[in-house]
Amino acid sequence: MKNRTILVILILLMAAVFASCASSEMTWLNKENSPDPLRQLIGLPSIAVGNLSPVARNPGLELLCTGLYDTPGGYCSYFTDGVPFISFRTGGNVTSVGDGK
Amino acid sequence: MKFRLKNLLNYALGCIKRYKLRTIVVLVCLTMAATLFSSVLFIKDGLVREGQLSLKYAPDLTVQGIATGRQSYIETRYIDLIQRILGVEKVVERIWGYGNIGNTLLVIIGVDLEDPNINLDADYPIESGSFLDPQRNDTVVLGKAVAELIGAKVGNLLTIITESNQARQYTVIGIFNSESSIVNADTILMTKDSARAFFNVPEGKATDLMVFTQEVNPAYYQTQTSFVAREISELPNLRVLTKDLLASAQETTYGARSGFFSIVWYLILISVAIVAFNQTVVVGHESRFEIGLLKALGFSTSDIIQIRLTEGTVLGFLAGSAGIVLGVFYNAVLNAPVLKDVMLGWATLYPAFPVPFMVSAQSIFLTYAITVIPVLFATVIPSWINATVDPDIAMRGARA
Amino acid sequence: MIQTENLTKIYNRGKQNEVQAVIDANITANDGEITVFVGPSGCGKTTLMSMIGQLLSPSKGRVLVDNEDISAYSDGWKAVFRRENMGFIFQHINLLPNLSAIDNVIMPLLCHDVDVERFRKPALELLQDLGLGDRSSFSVEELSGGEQQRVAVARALITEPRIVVADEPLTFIDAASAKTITDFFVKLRNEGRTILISTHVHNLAKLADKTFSMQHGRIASNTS
Repeated sequence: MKNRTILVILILLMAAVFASCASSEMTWLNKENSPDPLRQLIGLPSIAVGNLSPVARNPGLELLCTGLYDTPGGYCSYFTDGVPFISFRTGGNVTSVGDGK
Repeated sequence: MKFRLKNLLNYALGCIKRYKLRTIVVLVCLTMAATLFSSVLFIKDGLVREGQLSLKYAPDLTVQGIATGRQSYIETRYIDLIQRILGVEKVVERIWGYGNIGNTLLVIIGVDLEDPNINLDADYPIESGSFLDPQRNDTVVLGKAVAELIGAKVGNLLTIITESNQARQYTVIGIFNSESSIVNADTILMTKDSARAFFNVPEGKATDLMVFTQEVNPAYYQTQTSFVAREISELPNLRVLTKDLLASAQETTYGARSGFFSIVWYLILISVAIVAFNQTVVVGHESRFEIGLLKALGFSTSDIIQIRLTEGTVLGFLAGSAGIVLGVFYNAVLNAPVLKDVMLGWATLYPAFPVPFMVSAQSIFLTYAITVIPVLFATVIPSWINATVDPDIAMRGARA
Repeated sequence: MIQTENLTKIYNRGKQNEVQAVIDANITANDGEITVFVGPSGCGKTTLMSMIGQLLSPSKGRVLVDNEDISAYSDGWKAVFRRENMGFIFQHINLLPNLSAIDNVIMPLLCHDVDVERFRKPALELLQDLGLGDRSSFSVEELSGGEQQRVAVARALITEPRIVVADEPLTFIDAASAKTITDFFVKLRNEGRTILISTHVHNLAKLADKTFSMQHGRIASNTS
């Protein structure tokens, strides 16, 4: 095999890589720029992407989190069920009255 | 100068051919690592972009009801309360949920055909049949992959078992073929009233509320949304999801999952780098002798480093490029078996669909970084060490 | 002209296994002369040749070429000096395996800014002069010891160096090859080059314009 052959193979492979990158970026850009009435209608991410269904978990990763002594809602659980929510309630929710006797 | 550079390049390429075993070992290991690493990145980028596209049309805020700390129905009386908050454009109730057909979990969405904001004549990607009929409450429109999964055609009667173990029948009135393969694979559309009956959602309640905020300068969007979210969360038994929160949650989830697997690939790469390093230093008598000889013949230390740099760069880019091409093939043609299931969750829950993937510039750059840098490290440093030794000692030491 | 002043090499200085390979060597080699170093094995001939050729750093002393101290050059300048002025013939031949004879010959040209392909014809002519014209495309492993050494001679001469350093060039080769190489040294001397040879073979010693005899790392005597 000539030395040049290695370079030619490399150039061809890199050309394939950059072509697929350009094609992929263009495809996604087109998707973003063209309006999609169906998505507009649906207005929510599906199971696979939205992860709103607690059933759509990954048992392998859940096992890992359990092994790390993490609890549901803990940081590790972002692996499996990743939807946090906003709670703007600040301060404690316990009050006490009386003179402490 | 140009001949000198060409000569050194030719020599470097010749070295790649001459040290066959080293070249093959490094290429095979790096290509494997690059294939797996890039595949993970492509799927992660695809899922995140898919999520972003979905979220583009999602409401600015989603309001859910909570009871006993878990999500429950939300009362529609909140619509008026929320509507009065400054910055809110409109509030729309939504009925949707998850349903089973066989072992497959699907999203069932109730569409409010009386909502004036819905254009029934819009260019929906209906492949066969028609869109939902406002006059009929017993019709469904299926995603193409769902239809294929259950063998349904337009006009067929579909029986779906509800959560309360009732069998409900619907006529398939249309099949849509969205640009989103995931939507095609897990979505059934029906009228809102049908969905309410299907899920047994009482009147005066809904699955959640969609809150759309008023149009503002994008610089103020966050501030407005946060304000509205804060106001809504003051209301009892509610929780609020913002678009940004959903987006970052997706990014975190898929980023974390892909990051977890990236660690595995890094370990493989470090092993490859160590093997290559050992080959060059410990076992590399040939290499040490060669460097001594080159120096004796008049090559300078920088020439030798240039040769090794070229070798390492070519090897790294070869492996990276081959890995990326294989990664694209793995995702596009083979549909990423095993990896797709791990990234998405229980595979048995989803009907088969082409996994969305994206060959982004960032993932290409990262893949090249992980293939080129370790090889450079493993080849240039030992060569530099050998090149700074007296040529006579290098040659004698290699011969010994 | 090449001169050395108190050239010394001590390996493992200060340690138990210290070796004084060359001690205070003072030699002169003129242009257009064959200068030969003779002595028993282990007397320091190879070490001295390596230091003169800037392949080994001396522990002490200097190497002067045309009154310029080349041993004080930086590593980079030493490489340039070797490239532009010197050709080496090693005792252990030191060809690169997996390359053909002609590819080994043109190797020193790779670090020059020249189109190496233009030099294939001169390289082939050199090999022909050395009796290897029909073996130029043979791989090194396919050549005998004598043939390999002749390839090494061709490699040393392809850049037309003005200084040729040959360390025991006839050690592993047959008589016919030895004669060819010896005749070549005479030819080079007649072209005005400076030839330095270390040997224990009498044929070469007879050719010498100047002979330095070495014993235990020191120059014991010199004859012209």
